[in-house]
Amino acid sequence: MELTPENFDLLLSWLHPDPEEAGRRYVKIRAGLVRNFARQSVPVPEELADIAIDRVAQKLPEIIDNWEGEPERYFYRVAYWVLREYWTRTIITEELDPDAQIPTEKKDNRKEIRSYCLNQCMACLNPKQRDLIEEYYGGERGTRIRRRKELAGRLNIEMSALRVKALRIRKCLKKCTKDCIAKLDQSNY
Amino acid sequence: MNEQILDEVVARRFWLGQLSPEEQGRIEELAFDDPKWFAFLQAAEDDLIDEFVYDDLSSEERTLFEKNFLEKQPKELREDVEVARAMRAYFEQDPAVQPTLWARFRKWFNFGPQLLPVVIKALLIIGAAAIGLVTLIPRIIVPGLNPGYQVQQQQPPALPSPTSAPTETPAQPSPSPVHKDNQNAPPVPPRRPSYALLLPGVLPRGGERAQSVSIRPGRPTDLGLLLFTNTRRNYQATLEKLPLVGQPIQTWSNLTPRKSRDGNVIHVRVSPDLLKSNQTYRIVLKGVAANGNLERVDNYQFKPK
Repeated sequence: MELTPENFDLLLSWLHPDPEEAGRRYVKIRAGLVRNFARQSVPVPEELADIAIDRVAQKLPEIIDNWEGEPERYFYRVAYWVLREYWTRTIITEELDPDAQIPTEKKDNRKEIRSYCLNQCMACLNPKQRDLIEEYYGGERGTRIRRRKELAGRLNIEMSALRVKALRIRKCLKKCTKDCIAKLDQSNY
Repeated sequence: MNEQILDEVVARRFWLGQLSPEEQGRIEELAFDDPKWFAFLQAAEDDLIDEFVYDDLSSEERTLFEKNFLEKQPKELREDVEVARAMRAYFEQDPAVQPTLWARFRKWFNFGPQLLPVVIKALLIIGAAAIGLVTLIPRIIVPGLNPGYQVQQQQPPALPSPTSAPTETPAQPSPSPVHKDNQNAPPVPPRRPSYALLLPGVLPRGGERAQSVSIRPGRPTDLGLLLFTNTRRNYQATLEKLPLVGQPIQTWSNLTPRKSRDGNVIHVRVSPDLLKSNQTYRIVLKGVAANGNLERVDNYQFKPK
């Protein structure tokens, strides 16, 4: 949804009654958002900062009466969800893939597509990563915690470090799987 | 901001919607401010999704998860849950994922480096004692027993010689060539195969035409050929090397699809020596029509890696 002039005026007046001071605060908040998105390794921090500001402006009529504290904090809270959506690829920026929409008529095949894509992505992992993720998630249910402890012991790392390792691989797999799904959707599979 | 506010319990409560709006907001700010905490929160989310997919949540947590996570999140974010489900299915279906016998043994006897020499010494002593007992006990029980005679008693009845005609011993199954050469060799357990599901004629735009398939050296590869329509009595599959040169590599006949999570799938097994990495292959699937004729159904291209 686009930011309307009315919403933007309301946003500025919320930042400060004086328009000049409001403008200065707006610039400061936007810079802070851009800085944090960049720190979170987002390649398009300005774009996400603008998305976050749009969302705040749209949500503002609902929260303006009850909000206590610095407005900047609300921007950060909204920005967290924008960031999370970005990493789960639900926000499609131009840098990513503007056409990666999922056609509704293809949804019947989603299970097959997902399974196919996961297989593809598993094949792209290097053997070490594949072994780790297979051992981390594979095997019998109910013994997973014990197995993970043993795996951490064999790798001589803490459980938390093992978890982070598995998470990184899983993140790659997840991203790869989603990219693959988007590509298949595009190819009118 | 005080980083103490975020630990695993709090992160879990964050996703289950059990925090006050103020606490919730503070964590959102913290996670946006610091990539470390963002990753921490994501890890907690992934764990929760896993537990949901594996039915490991308590009934109360499950209700909260469904109410606060599945219902409130944008629809697209639920794809994470579906991907987690697909991963579960993958790990539970793929026979290659199951730990090998050696891995199981290693896990059972997962001694630390300090204990290992002690364990090896103990095993050697026990082994020596066992051998001693086996050789001494018969002498103690039957002091005059001739060891040579005992050995003869323990030998199995003579097997038919390799020159014997199979019809002379109908009760014996015909031994394979390997068994003929190594009658007394212990049977070698088959190595667990790799598995890949192949989709018919998929052409990802801009991507490679052939699906990549993970193969493991020395292991057979099981391939699942996904059928979108199952209208034939049975099927024939032919493995070919691309570009086409000479005869097909292998042909399987009388194949029937099996129902699986993915739909109707025909399974074929390829020996490890038939597939080479980075070579493109194609499986042509033909169906036996009602009149008995073979009709082409689809083809599946893949590239082992």
